[in-house]
Amino acid sequence: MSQTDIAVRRLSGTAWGTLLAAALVLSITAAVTIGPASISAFDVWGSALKHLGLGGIRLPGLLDGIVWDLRLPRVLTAACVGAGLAMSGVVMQAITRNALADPYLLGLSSGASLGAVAVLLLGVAILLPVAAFAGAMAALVVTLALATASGSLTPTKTVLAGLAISSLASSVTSFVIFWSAQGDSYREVLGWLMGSLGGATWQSVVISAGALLVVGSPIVAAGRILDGFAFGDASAASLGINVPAVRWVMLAAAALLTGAMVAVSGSIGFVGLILPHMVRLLVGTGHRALLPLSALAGALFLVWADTLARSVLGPVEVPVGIITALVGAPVFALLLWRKGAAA
Amino acid sequence: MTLRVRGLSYGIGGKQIVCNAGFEVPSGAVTGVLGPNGAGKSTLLHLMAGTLPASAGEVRLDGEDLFLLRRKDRARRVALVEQDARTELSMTVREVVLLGRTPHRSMLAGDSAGDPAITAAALAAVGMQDFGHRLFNTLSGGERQRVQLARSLAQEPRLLLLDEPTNHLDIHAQLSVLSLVRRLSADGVTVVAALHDLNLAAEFCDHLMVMAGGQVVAAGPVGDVLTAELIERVYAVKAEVFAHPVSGRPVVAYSGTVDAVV
Ligand SMILES: Nc1ncnc2c1ncn2[C@@H]1O[C@H](COP(=O)(O)OP(=O)(O)OP(=O)(O)O)[C@@H](O)[C@H]1O
Ligand SMILES: [Mg+2]
Repeated sequence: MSQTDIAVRRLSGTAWGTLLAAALVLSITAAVTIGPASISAFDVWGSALKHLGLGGIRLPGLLDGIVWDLRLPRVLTAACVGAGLAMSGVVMQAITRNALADPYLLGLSSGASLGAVAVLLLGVAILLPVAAFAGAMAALVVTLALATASGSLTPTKTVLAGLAISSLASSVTSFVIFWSAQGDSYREVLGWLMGSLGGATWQSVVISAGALLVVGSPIVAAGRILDGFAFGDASAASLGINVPAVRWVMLAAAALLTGAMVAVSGSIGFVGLILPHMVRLLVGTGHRALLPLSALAGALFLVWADTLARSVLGPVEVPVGIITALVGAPVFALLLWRKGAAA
Repeated sequence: MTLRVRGLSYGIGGKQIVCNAGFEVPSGAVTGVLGPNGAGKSTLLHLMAGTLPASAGEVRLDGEDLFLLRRKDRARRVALVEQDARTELSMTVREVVLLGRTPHRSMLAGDSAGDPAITAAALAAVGMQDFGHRLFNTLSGGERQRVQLARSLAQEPRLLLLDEPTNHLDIHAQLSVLSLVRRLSADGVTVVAALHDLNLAAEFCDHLMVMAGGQVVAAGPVGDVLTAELIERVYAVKAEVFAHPVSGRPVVAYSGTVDAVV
C-alpha cells in the first residue's frame, strides 16, 4: 500500500461487518466440530437447536454432551472473551492516546492473577471467577487512586500508575506461587496465568456475554465520543466533550469488561493489542466502525486460537495465551515495521 | 454586538500566566493577538475556548456568557485551531474535518445528512478539496494547518480562535488563509488570531491586542496600537512604522534589536 492513500479501505464498515459476522458463525460451527470426537456441522446445529427448543435433532447422549456441555460453551466463551478484550483494547488506546495500551493497562490482569492464585494456592474459599474479578477491580481502584493522587487523570499518569500496580501485584503473585505451589498446582496456576478457556462452562458464557451486552453495547453506542480524543484533551474539550467525565466512565467501562473476561479465562494477551490495530487498517480510525468490527475480529481470532490451543498437542492443552502470544508478537512486529516505514 | 473579555486570569503552580486580561471588539471583527514568545497568547485563546479553566473572568459573545453555556453549546459557537495539533492515529483528512461536526450531533447518532456537504465545503474553502482521502499525518505542515482550519470551519462557529494560523505556511498560503479569515469575518464570524508577523497583522486585522508577561499591554484599532514605541517596548526591537502607500495601513520595517543598536 502506498502510504499516502488508503487503498486497503476499499470496503465499507458495513461490508466488513457482514463479512466478519459470517466468518464468525462459520468459525464457531467449525470449531465445535474440531476435536477427538468426530462431530459434523449438522450435529452442532442439530443439537443446539434442540436444546433451544427450536426443532433440531436429538444426538446420542455422549455426543450431545460433548457438543452442548463441553465444546459449545467453550467456543462461545472464546468468542465473547475475544470480543470483549478487543473492544476494551480500543477504548484504552483511545482514552490514553497510546497505541500500546491494552485491556490490562490498569493493572487488571495482575490483580486478577493475584486473586486467582490466592484461591488456587492459598485455599481462599471463594469461587475462582469471583476472586479474579475482585482482584482486577481492586487493582483498578488502587491504580486510579494512585494516578489521581496528584491531580487530574492524565493519560501518562494512568499508564505509569497501571505499570506500578501491575508490577507490585505480579511480584506478590510470584511470591505466593514460589512459597506455596507444589506438584500439579504449578501447572494449574500457570495455565490460569497464561490464560485458558479449558474450564469454560455455560456460566462462563453467561458472564462474558452478559458483560458484552451490558457494558460493551453502550461503549459501541458512545463510540463517536472517542473520535474526539484524536488530537488530545484540549481539542476534545473544544469540540464540547466533557473530557474528565468521559475518561473516567470509559476507563471504568473498559475495566469492567476486561474484569469479566479475565474472571472466566485468565489474562489472555495480545488480543486487545493486535486486533484493534489490524481493524484500523481495514476501516480507519472512526470508533463507530472500529469498536464493533474489533469485537468481531477479536471473537474470530480467539475462537481459532483456542481451537489450536486444545488440538495442537493432542490430548495436552496449551494455554491459549501462549498461542495468542506466538501469533500476536510477530504480527505486532510486522505492524510496527509497517508503521515505521510509513512514518 | 460585541466580543467582550473581562478579568480573564489563569495561573498554574503559583505562577500567573494570564493576568486580568480584558478587551472588547465588535463581533465580526478580526482581532490580532500580538506579543513575544511566552507572553500568554495561546493560554488566553485556550481560556476563551474553555479548554483551560479560567480562575477568574468572563467571555461574552453578543452578551452571552460563554462560560455559563453547556460544553456542547459552547462548542457550537466557539472553535479553536491549536498551535500545533498532532495525532498518532492514521486519520484521513476527511475524518479530521468531520470532527468539527461533533458538537452538532447527538453523541449517540451517526453522521447527519448535511455533514458530508459541510465537510466538503470546508475543505474547498481552504483549497484542500483534493486531499480528502489523504492521511493527515502524511501532509506537510502547511497542509495540516489548512486541514485544521477546515475542521474549525466545519464546526460553524461564531467565534473562531486561531493560534498562529499562518505558521508553516508559504507566503501565498499565508495570504490566502488570512483572506479566508477576512471573508469569514465579513459573514459575521468573530475572529481572534495569535500572530507573529506584525505586517500581516497590520494588513488583515481590524483590531490588535498586545500581550506581554501575561498582561494586555495595549488594545485597540490597528493604527492606534502598532507604533514604533510599542514595538520597542514589547519586542525590544527598533522599528519604523510607515503608512502603506496604497492601503494606508501601517507597515513595519525593522532596524535591529534594541541591545544590538547601542
Ligand atoms: N502548564 C504550564 N505549566 C507551566 N507553565 C506554563 C504552562 N502553560 C504555559 N506556561 C507558561 O506560560 C507562558 C505563556 O505560555 P503561552 O503558550 O500562552 O505563550 P505564547 O504567548 O502562546 O507563546 P508562543 O508565542 O511561544 O506561542 C509561558 O512562559 C509558558 O512557559
Ligand atoms: Mg503560543
